[in-house]
Amino acid sequence: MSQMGPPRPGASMPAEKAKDFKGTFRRLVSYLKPRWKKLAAVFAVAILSTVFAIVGPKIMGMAITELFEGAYGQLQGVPGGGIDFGVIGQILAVLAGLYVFSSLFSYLQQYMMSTVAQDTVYDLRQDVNKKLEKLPLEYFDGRPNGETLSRMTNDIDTIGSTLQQSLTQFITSIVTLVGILVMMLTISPLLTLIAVVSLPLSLFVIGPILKRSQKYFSSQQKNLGRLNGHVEEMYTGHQVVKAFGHEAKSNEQFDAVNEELYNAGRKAQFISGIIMPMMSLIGNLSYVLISIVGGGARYPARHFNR
Amino acid sequence: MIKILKNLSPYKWIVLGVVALVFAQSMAELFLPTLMADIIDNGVVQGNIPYIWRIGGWMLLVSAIGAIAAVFASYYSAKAAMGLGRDLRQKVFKHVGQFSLQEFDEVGTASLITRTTNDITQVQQVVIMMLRMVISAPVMLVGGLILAISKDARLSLVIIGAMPILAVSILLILKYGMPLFQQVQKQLDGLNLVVRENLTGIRVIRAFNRETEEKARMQKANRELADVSIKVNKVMAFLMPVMMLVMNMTVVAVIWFGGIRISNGAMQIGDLMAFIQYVMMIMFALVMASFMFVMIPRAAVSAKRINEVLEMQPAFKDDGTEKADRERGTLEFEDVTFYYPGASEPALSHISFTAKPGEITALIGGTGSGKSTLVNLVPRFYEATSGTIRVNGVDIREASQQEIRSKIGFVPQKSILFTGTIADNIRFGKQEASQAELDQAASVAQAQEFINRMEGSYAAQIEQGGSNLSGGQKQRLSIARALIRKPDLYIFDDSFSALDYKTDAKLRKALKNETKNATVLLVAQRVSTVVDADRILVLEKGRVVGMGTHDELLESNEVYREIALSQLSEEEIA
Ligand SMILES: Nc1ncnc2c1ncn2[C@@H]1O[C@H](COP(=O)(O)OP(=O)(O)OP(=O)(O)O)[C@@H](O)[C@H]1O
Ligand SMILES: [Mg+2]
Repeated sequence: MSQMGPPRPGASMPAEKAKDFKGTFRRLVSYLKPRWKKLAAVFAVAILSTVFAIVGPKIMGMAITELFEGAYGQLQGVPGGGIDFGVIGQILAVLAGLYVFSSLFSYLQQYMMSTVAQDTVYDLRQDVNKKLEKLPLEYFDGRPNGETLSRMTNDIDTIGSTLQQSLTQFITSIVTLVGILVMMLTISPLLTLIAVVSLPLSLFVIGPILKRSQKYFSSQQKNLGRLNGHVEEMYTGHQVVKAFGHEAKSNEQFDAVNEELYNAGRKAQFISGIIMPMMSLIGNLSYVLISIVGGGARYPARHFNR
Repeated sequence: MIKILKNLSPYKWIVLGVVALVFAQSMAELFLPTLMADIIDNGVVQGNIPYIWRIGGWMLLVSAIGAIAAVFASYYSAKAAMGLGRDLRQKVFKHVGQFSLQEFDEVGTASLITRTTNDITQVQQVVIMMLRMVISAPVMLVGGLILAISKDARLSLVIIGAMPILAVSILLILKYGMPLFQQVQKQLDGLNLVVRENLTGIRVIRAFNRETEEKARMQKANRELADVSIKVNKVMAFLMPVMMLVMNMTVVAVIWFGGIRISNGAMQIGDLMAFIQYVMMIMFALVMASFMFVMIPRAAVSAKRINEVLEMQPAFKDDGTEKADRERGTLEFEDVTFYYPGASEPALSHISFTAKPGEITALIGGTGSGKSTLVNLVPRFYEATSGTIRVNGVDIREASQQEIRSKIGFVPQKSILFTGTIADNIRFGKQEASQAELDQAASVAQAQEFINRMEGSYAAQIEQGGSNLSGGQKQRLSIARALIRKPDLYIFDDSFSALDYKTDAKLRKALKNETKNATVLLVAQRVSTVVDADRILVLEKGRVVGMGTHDELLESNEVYREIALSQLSEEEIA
């Protein structure tokens, strides 16, 4: 959960699948190219921030292990037992420093990315506008203005917020995955095994859910499109609808689409609402496993830093 | 916002259920760290493996209960929120359906569309978030605090110190960020406007070579939007790092002071672990709460816009009960004056005339002279400011709008067609019309030929706005739609403008037969269209400046002669 800006409506919905993904992707890259220096800096900072964030728990684990052993020694009455606050203080100071830098870099990354993303959006819009100027009039007669309008505004806006959020998120996720794996291996290979085993388990549970949610979300989007289309048509044709007494029929059609939208939306929202609880259930499961194994190993504390 | 939420009342049991379920889920989550502390202190430290197994089992049970509660909560919250969205959409759509054109002018069609679609979706989204978070945030906050204090009251001072720092920093960021979000919205609307104008006015722009100016306008709007978006993102970039920093620093502080407590024997190591978990929960709840503070005002704006629509009442009532069948095929204007709402000049002043069955009354006049305005008063799209209009001898205010309109075949100036087949569109005028009636209407409207040429003929699909038809084809379909009703009164608002002279003449000839027992009110630009009208009204600035036949007006009316001279050659006039 590294990015949590106030959720934008529709931001979480899976977009229609692009027909020519490669070509589209290449074009997008060509837009980012003029800004590659800035983008490289963003990536560098993102990696640093993530690395620091991952090393954090390891250091925190050290502090807690130190505490645990000290306290355990004290409890057992081992001579020279007790907590060594000098060492802990040092560890915690390092930890605090790490966190400060992690936050700082994460801020820098967002800060720089906002310029990159929005300037790209600006270029895109300029180019679309240039293109529109060149298109023959037939193009405009051939389709509703609303369609062209929404390309120009909403669709490009979506590209902007995706750039802002997902690009760095992607980098961060990869670094996090590798980093955590390395971290876990250095802490305990056995526990890593458990965690790695629980990963396919979560995929096993989450996979079908995600697939379904895709289906429902696209059905929701489709019905929303139909409903918006109907509303647009009836409102712009209001004069004619009234002149010919078509209100009842129009309401009937609206109700039918509205009901379908309700059903699709209900399912989509339900599915998206259960992903988090499922994840945390799996998390708790592996947690208990870890404490059982860790309990046997007598050094549990360090494993409890999720 | 509250008014909108009242629409949740049909779902009140579901909402209560969600509240209970979310509460259960939160409690389960709160319970887990305590169990975990138990495992460490009594299981791991003591090396008591069976104990670990037992408490581990409990942990699993509790988290399973939490997960089940969450699943049900998700189900019912989706049901309630989506139900609310559905009900609201239906309510707004029905309500807007009752509006006259006056209300459409007032709010704007585009805005009405957004309010019925986007704004409601926005509210729906926030309601679902609220249902899921509004209970869990306070429960986690208070529960977390209580449990943390019960673990170690003195250590809890750290939390008490950290909470205000977190809350204040989040609120500060939001305070700067929120107005910027509104600005983004404003700039986006601005860009929208420019693009829309560019699209609708594309012909004009190209005809007058205004591309460069329009490009500059567009670029300005685009730049402004990009700049304010960058600004808002830069401010919001603070949010996550600051939250993480405060949270992490609190944990560091807890470990340090917790260590001291443990060394004093005042606390056990497992309790410290649980304590850290509670700290995270509390902080997370605070973060959720702050997001609610952001989301709710934004949704409240949408809710307000929806309410405005719902509270708007049609400017005039539809409470007539008379039947409109006293003198069939007549139309009468008696001293009618009309102001558009808020206008200082009347769009029509003191209009009087009477038309009898079989007569054609033509309106001619320059652009903006009030022709469409006059015609729109008849089906009561607008209400005359003073004076009386009678259709079939009945004051249109004394019969229901439905009744009056059922007597009228209206062809608007801008041909509006709907998605569906050609047949659907013509049947718009009369839903139960037979194929023979369709054929007849189409052939009078001179539409038969091109319909037959289309693939599927009457079953051919028309795209949104009739974009796959030419202007003349659209006009003829919209004429056929009016003809099929066989009304007592025909209104053609400049409905032959896209037809060539030949088709125009053929159509008017075919119409003559069709309209023997009805009145025709016809707006025209071309003098050739009105030469054989029984009565021509010459309009200028909303005033009738001449009334009579073509010959009479040529003789006596300066305005009419000017129009005629500009269009016809001398011989044609004579
Ligand atoms: N919805 C409206 N709200 C306010 N004023 C309007 C509205 N529609 C038209 N007007 C004004 O009323 C006057 C008459 O307009 P109207 O549309 O009746 O002209 P018209 O004779 O039909 O012109 P045209 O030949 O271009 O169709 C114009 O000055 C116009 O600006
Ligand atoms: Mg007009």
